[in-house]
Amino acid sequence: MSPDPFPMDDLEGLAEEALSAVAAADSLAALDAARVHWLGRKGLLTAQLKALGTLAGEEKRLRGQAVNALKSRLEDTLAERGHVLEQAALAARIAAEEVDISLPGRTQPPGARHPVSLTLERIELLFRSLGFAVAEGPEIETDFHNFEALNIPAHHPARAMHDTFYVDATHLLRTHTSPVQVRAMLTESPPLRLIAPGRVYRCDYDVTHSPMFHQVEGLWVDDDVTFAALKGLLSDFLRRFFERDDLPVRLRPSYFPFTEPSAEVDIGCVLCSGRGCRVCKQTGWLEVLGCGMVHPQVFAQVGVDAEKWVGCAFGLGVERLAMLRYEVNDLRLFFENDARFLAQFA
Amino acid sequence: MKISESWLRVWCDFPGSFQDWARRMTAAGLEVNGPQPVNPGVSGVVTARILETMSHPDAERLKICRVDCGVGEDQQVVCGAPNARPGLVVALARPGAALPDGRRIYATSLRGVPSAGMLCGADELGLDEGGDGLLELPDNTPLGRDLVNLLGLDDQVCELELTPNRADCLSVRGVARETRAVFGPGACGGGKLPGDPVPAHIDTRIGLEICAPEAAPRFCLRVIRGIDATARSPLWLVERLRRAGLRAIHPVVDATNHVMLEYGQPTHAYDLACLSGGISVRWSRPDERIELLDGQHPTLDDRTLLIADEAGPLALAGVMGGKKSSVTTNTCDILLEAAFFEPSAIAGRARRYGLHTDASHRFERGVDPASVRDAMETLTRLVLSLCGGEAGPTVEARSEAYLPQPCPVRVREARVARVLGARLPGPVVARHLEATGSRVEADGEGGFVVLPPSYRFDLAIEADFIEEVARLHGYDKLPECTPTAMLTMLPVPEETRRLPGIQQHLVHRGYHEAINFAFTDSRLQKRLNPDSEMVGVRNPIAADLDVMRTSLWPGLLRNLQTNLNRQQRRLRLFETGHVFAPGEGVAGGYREEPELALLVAGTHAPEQWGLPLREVDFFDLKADLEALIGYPFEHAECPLKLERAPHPALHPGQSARLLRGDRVVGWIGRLHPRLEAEFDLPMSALLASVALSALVPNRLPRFAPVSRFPASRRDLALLLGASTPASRLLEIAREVGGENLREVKIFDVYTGEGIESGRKSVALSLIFQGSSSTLADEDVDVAVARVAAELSARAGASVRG
Repeated sequence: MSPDPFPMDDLEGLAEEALSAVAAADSLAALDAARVHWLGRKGLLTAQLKALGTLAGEEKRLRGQAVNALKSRLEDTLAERGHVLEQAALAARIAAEEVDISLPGRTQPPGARHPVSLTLERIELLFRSLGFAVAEGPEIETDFHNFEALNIPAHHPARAMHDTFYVDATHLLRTHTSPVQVRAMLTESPPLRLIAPGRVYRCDYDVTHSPMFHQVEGLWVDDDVTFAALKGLLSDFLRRFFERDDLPVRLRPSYFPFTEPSAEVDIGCVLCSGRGCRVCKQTGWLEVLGCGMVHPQVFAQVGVDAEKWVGCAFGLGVERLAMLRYEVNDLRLFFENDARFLAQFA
Repeated sequence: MKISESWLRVWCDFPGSFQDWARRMTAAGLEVNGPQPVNPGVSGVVTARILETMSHPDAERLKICRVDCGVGEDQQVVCGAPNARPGLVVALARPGAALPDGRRIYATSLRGVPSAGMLCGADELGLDEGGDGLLELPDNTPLGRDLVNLLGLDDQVCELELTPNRADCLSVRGVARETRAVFGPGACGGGKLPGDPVPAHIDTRIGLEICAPEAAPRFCLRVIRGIDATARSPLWLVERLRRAGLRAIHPVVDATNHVMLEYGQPTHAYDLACLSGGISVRWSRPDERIELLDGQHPTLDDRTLLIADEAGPLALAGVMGGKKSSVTTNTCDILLEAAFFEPSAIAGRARRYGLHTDASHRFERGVDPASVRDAMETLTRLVLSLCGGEAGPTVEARSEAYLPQPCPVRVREARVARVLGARLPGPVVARHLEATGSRVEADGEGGFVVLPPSYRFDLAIEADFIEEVARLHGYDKLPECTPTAMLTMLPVPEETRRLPGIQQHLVHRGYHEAINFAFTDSRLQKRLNPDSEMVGVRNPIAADLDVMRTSLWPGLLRNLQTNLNRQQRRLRLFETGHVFAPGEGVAGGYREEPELALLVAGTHAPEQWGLPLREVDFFDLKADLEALIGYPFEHAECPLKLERAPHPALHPGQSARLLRGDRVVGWIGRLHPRLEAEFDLPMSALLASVALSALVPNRLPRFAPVSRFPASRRDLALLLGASTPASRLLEIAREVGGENLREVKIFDVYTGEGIESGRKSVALSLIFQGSSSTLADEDVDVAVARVAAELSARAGASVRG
């Protein structure tokens, strides 16, 4: 007699063997091999299922139930084991991929804008917010635009205040950016609202003077510009520039040939808050810009009707404001371009 | 100008302290620095007379002096000064005295001889700089007087920084006038009037001819004979001059200076014995010469006003006297001059001859033409009191037609209000106008007719008076308001790049921004570009800043040197600024153009753990430029083209120019190895420059549909001549690749082993993508074959295995 092809205890042995094989699989590959071995197309359990076709009746039903139960149990175990192995593999990968996050980032570190450039942009932004356009002009200027048109004829004592570099008898390196306002008024009609930032040159070179520096000239011509509005404009600008709403601002009478009345504008020292320090020479005040109402003679030179229009103008030193804003204590640092200095403005 | 409190109070006794005065004057537009105490720190010093001197037994240089201090017993003081002699009145620092250098004086003994203090020199007392002898006090000085008291050192001095329009304040009288204007007419006491004219004692007159009345419309001369040549200026005068910053020289000269400081009227004294014939006031003749008081011998042009006699020029009018006729210690007879010179006749003359004097400073700005006679009388009186002598009559030449005539000016209240934005009541406006010394009359039409005083050269038009009203009212008392204007939006052009954007972009790529002077060294610039035409500066501030830059590279290379010297071995800098060139035919005669320049040197990144380091090279800089432009140079849309070309500052094998259309707009390359050595650089540097005008135009982005179909990539490995530019392959491929070729890239370039010399291997990747369907392999194959065929035919590139 041939042996019973379907002994139930045999099935039990099979189950034990399959489950222990799955449990022993220590990698996803081993697990997959076990799955193929038991449940693959030619797998041992698959063979059991195929063999059911030779049975019939109650025997087939019972046997079928037992084999399918085993299959289902085996599948669950495989999935469970698979999950465990996946988790272990992930954990292993994560462990292997751990980095020392304290190490510096791989980098091309950013550079930095020059503090004078930053200050220029800041001034521009503030005035642009009030609708002042930005105008430019040449740095080699004519005597006419730099002096004559600004009511500074030849031999005027005010020329001594502008130690001038000349390139020929009638051309010079502009001593201020005011000639840009002359050019603007010669080409455009009021109302005008503009600022003219740029490099200017004076023949003076020591600890507190640079032969080249930057200025921003402002011009506002309209039919209702007043000295009161000029005061308001500059106070507002200075308080926004230094971001101090309570910054004291005062105007002192002064003299510029191209404005009248003219004023120097002082602010309470931003370094000592007006208590007195080396920078403000113990006065508590810092002179930061010059301004005034456009002189009728300037209007006459550029063909603007001084009865119809009123104008105000102002000029400020950019290096001066940059030094105060960023607490730079030596003017010469601006033009050495030492990378360690520049990097501080990143 | 310096002014002392004591002198000012003689003319105007203002209320409150000198400190307060300084503050109020500054607020009114006369910038005052100080006050500073006049006493430099002297106390316990008294006057004493040396009675006898004996030599020191143990020191050849020292003398033992017996001195009389006026009270008490004679004292013994040891002294080393060469001018210590019996009879001399000196300053004795007694035990307990303090000197300006911080020294305290004690009774001591010098080489065994007791000394009750120290005899002082002017320098030790802080009264003068030079001299190594004792301060010699006048013989009639009372003994035992405290020096501080004697010299009136309990005084203060302020420095006035006057603006050029306020010539009227260049004198004690002028500052006193201004003080009254600021404080109000009733607030101040004191005051001084010019004295009565000094009558003539003798009848000596000097002939006077005014050949240039337009330049010297008022001119006075006066002779004084028989002055005491040995007279010395008294202490009060020496001290007044010293406090104003002048030194006593000769009583007559001191007197002229005193009058100038007090009245603002420069005057001059000539030695009468040195004159030949009459005086003329005339313009110079070309090539005339004069020896000036300061020893200079300028050769004159034909527009210099002179005081001359028959023998030639005596003085540059209103600037400086000549040596020949100057007053000396032998002078007995003098000729005094006081004049009004038209400012335009003096302006610029002193500067032309390299001079700047107290006289020219005043005449250029305007001296009161009405004060000439007062000044002459005051000067005469002072000279007579200092040196004796007999005065002749004042000879005066006056040309009314050329004297400045103050003109009445209409000042409208409405205009004052419109300019200042403040409605000041009429009487207030009138009060401020009157305070300027002007005659003010209401015109009955809401304004005033104002006649300025003769000493205010700055008051001629309505605006001048509006300024005075504002100033005397007080800028701080004028209103301030928020500016109002029509709201108009500024244009925001999107197809134009703003400079800050360009700068910020470079900063993000690791560049620092540099700012260098726009003038540079002509030799340095020649080394970088021997052919460049430069704009010279006529009066450079330094020999190595003598020309305008034609390029930003000299500045950046200097910066590299500076940084290397400071151990900064890796540098990435950019600068934007104008470059200059002579420009025949260009408006203005000069060309200037804003430019951007880049310099990189050292490693491509800072040393770090995660990146192998290498030196920067051409392609790093090229990439930075491409990132800035927004396209690779070889891209069809790139607005700039790169073209191999030599530049004298660049490595011949690594140099290219940038073109926008046909125009050369920049350069890129590696610094020439010859210059590397000349600049003593331990590494190479890469440089680029681009005209900003070429960077500013910006493409307005325009949408194109993005394909949703898969792309196919094909690679071609090519062998071609080593000197064929790789960009040629890209051009050809793009040209013939068909509409579906999206992108061509060079992903490898190789020369060396396995490649025959003179050839190189270049690997191209071609990416194809259809816009309306997935491409069939056959179609792609056809396109690739076409590209390969064209590359072979036109660039000699064969496809490898």
